[in-house]
Amino acid sequence: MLNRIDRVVRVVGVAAAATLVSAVMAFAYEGGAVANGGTIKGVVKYKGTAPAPKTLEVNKDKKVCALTEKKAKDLVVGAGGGVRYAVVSLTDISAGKAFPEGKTVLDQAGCEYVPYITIVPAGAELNIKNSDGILHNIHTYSKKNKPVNKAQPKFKKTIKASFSEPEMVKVTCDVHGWMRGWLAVVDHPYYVITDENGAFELADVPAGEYEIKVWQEDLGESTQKVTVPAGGEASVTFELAAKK
Amino acid sequence: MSEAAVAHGHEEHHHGGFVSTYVFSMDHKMIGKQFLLLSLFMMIIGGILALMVRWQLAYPETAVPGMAWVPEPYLYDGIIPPETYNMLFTMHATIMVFFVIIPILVGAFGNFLIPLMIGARDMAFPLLNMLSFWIAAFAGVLMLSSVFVEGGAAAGGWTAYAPLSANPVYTGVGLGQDMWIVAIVVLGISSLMGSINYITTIINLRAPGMTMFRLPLVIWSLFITAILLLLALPELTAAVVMLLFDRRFGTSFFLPEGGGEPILWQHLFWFFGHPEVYILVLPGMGVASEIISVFSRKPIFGYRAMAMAMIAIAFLGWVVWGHHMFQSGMNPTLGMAFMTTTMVIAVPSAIKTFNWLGTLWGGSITFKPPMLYALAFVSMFVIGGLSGIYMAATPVDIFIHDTYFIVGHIHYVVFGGSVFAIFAAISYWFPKMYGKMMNETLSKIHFFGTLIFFNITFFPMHIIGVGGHMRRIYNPTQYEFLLPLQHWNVIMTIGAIGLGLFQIVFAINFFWSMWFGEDAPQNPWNANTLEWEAPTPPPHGNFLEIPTVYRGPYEYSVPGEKEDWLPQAQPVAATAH
Amino acid sequence: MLPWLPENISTYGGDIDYLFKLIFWITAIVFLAVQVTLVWFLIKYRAQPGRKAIYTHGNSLLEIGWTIAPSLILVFLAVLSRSTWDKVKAEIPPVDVTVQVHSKQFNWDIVYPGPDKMFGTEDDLTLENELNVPVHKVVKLELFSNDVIHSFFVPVLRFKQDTMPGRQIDGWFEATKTGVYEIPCAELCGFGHSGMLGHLEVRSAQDYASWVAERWSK
Repeated sequence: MLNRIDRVVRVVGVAAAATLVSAVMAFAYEGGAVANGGTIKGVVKYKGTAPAPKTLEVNKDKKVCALTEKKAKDLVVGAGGGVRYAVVSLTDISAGKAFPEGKTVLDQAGCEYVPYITIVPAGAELNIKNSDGILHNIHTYSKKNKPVNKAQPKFKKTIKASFSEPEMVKVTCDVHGWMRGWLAVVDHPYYVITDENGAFELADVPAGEYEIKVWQEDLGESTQKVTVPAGGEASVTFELAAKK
Repeated sequence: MSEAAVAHGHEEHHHGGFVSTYVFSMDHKMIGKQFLLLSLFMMIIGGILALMVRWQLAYPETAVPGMAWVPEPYLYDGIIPPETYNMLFTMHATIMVFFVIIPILVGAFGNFLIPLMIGARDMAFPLLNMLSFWIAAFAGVLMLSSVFVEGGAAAGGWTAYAPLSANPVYTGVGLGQDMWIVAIVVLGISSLMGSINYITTIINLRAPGMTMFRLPLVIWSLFITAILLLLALPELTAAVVMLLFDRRFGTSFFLPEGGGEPILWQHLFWFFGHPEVYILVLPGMGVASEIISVFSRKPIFGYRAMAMAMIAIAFLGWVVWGHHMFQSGMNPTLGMAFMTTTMVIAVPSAIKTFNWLGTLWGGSITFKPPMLYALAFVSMFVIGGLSGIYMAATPVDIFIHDTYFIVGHIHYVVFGGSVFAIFAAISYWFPKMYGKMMNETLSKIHFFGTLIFFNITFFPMHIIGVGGHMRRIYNPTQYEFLLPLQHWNVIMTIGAIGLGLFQIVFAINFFWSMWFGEDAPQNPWNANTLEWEAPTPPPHGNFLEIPTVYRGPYEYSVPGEKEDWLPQAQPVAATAH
Repeated sequence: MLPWLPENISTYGGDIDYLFKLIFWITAIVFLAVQVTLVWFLIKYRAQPGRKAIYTHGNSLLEIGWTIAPSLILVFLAVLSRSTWDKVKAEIPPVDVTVQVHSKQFNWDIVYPGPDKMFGTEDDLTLENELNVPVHKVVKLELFSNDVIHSFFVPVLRFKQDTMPGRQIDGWFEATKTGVYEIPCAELCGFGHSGMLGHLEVRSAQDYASWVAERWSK
């Protein structure tokens, strides 16, 4: 089960300063206090037996990058069939809790992106750290947002980027081809990433009926309806199968 | 034409004020000086960019001294990031080629010398001439402004290979590269105007008796260069416009995903690019011929051969462009063809070198600063020319291409050649331009310092090139096989810093002498050519009376003559023998 | 200059180095001759009171002489270069191993065809920046680019070939010594050009066989 610290770190580490910027951008979403909110708890499961994650070849900058073995994170399924690194969100919520305070940080450490998926409010500033002291480069791929392609040598400890359109943005490094990460650019804070058991929790949801969606990079997307009772709990289970 | 125009010793204009005398002048001499000043300013910028490149190569990822104030993302507390590094060498080369060497040799000296040395009062088209300067200045402003736009300045090398330069996504440079293209187009317009003027003037406005084969060789060189510019620059303009279209208007001339062909860019660029490098060196050769003859007190050895050699170089320059593309993937048979033509083009340059030596042989040589610079031109150009033979041999080029060997070659011909020729020309014609003498001691200090530090900076490039050191890399210490060569990078950077420091001596000499130098006599070098017939400095209209030419320009030490010089315009003696 | 040339582990490297050395000696001799003559003339013919310069406009015989001599030397060099150029770039000898190189910003994707020796099949293997080849065998490289022009440069093999997007360019080499060697990129390809680096691993026959067995152990 997710503990509180993990949830705070994982779920919505977003910049408060960015809300000043985002105030300029007309959000359709209104954040504020939520009275008597409910909680959605659930799990994302994999249908069938998942293949073991591949080991990534590290053949550059080994002194920094090959200290630990690296495994691909595109499909990580736990012992109980839970899918890690899936993004669960409400698609049609227009008012709810506010974005939490704090900076959004993506780190390049040990030649991996930490965290693997970073949630970034649309328009907010993302701080990209280079903790490795070697040349990395941030190269993003996205449909709606302008791509970012910037070198980050060791003396550029932090570079900043921002994305205006909500979507999933792929992050790669042209210098280290095995590096992969994702940015979930969001327009409201009801986004959460599943843990090693595939479990997730969305709290302070105003009572009502919503559509809940899961996104996973290999397995695609799936939606369901969920009704959140005031002050109560709703339960959702997703079962995703490998795409043909 | 009324000869009543009185010649004063100063640049006084009867009717105009400051603006029409110094800003929008249509006098070729003033326009020449405007080109000179603009280009010397650009040279300082180009030099600083080079010093930054050299700093990064010697001490990678350390802060460049004195640059901590430059804001991000250009520098990070004075440290050069990779994107900026690519901009630095791109802009260094672009500025030096287009905004220093051509404007000084062709714009400044072409303008100043042509009417004076052919015995004309001004260029054929004075208004066009004035426009050509201001358009060039505007191009310079555009080029320098490109640094300040989002994404920074062009970063694809001055050669701007596609697709790297054809799609902003590959370099991250947007408007900056577009501005680079537009600046080059604008500069091309200026150049075209100049070429039209020079060619027309030389063909039509020669003084009586000034046949083509009595023209000083520097005028021959400028004439040939103007023709090369006339033919080459429009082709470059077409190429860069195509590039701009690929970048901004959805075409695919050079983009394979649209059916385009990246190698086409290389053909188009180098078809201009190779004649361009002869444009850079031919005027220098002309200057060297003038000065060596004057300071040896001897006719130039093989005048006709010298003129023919320049024509041969210009002509052959059109059929060697593929030697820049031996490793590009073009058909190997073309490699053989271009190797042959490239080997052949070395011959006229060799002929010229031997003729300069022949001029010195049996001479009576004095070592005034112009002569020192001219001799250095010959000496350094020989090194640059010989190093070219390695690349001309296609199998050797497999290894040498895109290494520092080429960078060494480039700088020996362009700095060792053209820039020393520029210093020679400035020190030689300064008295005529400004009516003052440059300080001889400072000139000699500048000369020796520049010669020594030039060689320290650029000779080791051949060494590291042979070691396989690639061009345009930001951090040589990333490669194990280059680590043993890294100390050369440090030596070269120290050389470059020394080289830069000695240019301060030149700057001081140039500006101080302009105002406080010793007054120059009309003909301080006892030279034969027509510009020395005009008062020093020449007024509007140049000559009190248009001279008549009686002989070639190099009649020095004529047996039976009292003086060891015999001006072109001196009438033949009544008792001729 | 010569001591700085990297070691040569290529069958045709010797031909290239031979040309290099020949040109070195020719240019060194010409260089010395010209510079020494220049300095000698400057000393011998410096202005001295009472001596006038020799008035001459040139010498046709000399002109002809010093036109023909350099021409002969240069044409000779061109002719000599031809066979090596053809050998390296125009002809590919019978091939033992074929590997594809897909260059991209800022890495070399090396694609091995696998035991079926065909590209585009299940057993293809892509390794980033690692080119494994057997020693004493002719290796053919099929070079591609995914984005901009790069240049596959292996100094010790005297191998350099630009890669071009939209086109396949073939090259070959035969390595004569085992070891690990660097493969830099030799054509400006963006801000990651510096540091774009692969490694060539030339393996003995036995070593190579075990590498193949290990890689395709399924």
